[in-house]
Amino acid sequence: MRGKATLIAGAALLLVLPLLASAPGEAAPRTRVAYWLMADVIRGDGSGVQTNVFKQGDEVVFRARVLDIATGQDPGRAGQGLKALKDLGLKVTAYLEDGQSFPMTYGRHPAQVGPRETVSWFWTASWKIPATYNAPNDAGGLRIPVAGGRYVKWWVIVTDKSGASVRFDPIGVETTLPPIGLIIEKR
Amino acid sequence: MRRMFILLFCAALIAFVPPLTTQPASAGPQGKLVYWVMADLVRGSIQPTGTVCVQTNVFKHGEEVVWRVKVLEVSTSEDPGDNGKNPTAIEERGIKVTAYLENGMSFPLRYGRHPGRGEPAAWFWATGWKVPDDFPIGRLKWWLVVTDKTSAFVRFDPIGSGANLPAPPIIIERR
Repeated sequence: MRGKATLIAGAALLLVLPLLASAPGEAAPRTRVAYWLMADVIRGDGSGVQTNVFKQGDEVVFRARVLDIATGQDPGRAGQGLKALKDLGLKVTAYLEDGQSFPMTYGRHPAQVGPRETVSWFWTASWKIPATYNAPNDAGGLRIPVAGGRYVKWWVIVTDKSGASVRFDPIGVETTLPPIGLIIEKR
Repeated sequence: MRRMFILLFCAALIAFVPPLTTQPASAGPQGKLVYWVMADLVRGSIQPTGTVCVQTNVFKHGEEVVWRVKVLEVSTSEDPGDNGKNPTAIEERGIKVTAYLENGMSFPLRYGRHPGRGEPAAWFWATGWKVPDDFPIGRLKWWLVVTDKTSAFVRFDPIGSGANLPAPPIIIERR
């Protein structure tokens, strides 16, 4: 009887040990990226020029493109799959480190086109920098100082109904190089 | 005897046809994005007409266009070079990142530490191109391609490329 109990306990231990060993010892699970997310910022003055240097009163336009990793395709299928976007519950939001956030909308760009012109579909949000806005960090302290400017970090997050969450940060955000954030200068 | 032959032939067909049809599908990435590629352009330090190392797509003659690219592995969302701790992994995988201009020029990017000295630093891919003084002014489309030894091929185009938007290409202006 005692031998049988030892055998059962041994078998149970063999089953449980691998679980115990892998649970606390392993590093945080590396997550597979659900969406291929890329984002940039451009001037909202109609020139569409890419920059991360703005003046108070300027308009910042956040642009993001979201592709399904599995297919390499835009889930919105260039405007043909708007229902699919809704079904997926896809939400794309731009954030500033000062706590502001800007929900992005999926749309056609440019909005007005002639019959033969080509368009592109992606996510955008805009932010008109208040004339009195004071960004939280001094850009004079950056590796390449931008005298008189202040900066605020930004990022974009895409989420969906399944709980997928992908974050985009500008390249080199962990450094003190100038593209770290939006540099805002006095007008 | 003939019936037996047909039976054997059909059995052989059933046995061999599935591998024949699945073989091409498993070769190459087949549209799957193996790498997550992020890229931007910044103004380099050669003859700058404005703040150095800020994002822009408008350059003047003599200025330096710098491509900065981050390549992450989709399955782990990690840099294959582990932020400079494992550059041999990049070599072993044969990862190559190249920037292309629509005029046929191409620029291989190098994986390195930025900034070169001092802390904090980040590891990503970069290269620079000094715009020649006699380079035609106007718009110039660009894109990037990431490849590796397994024949993975991922192309990055700036947002809005292909559309009639004012800015996505590199814009070259007179000084």
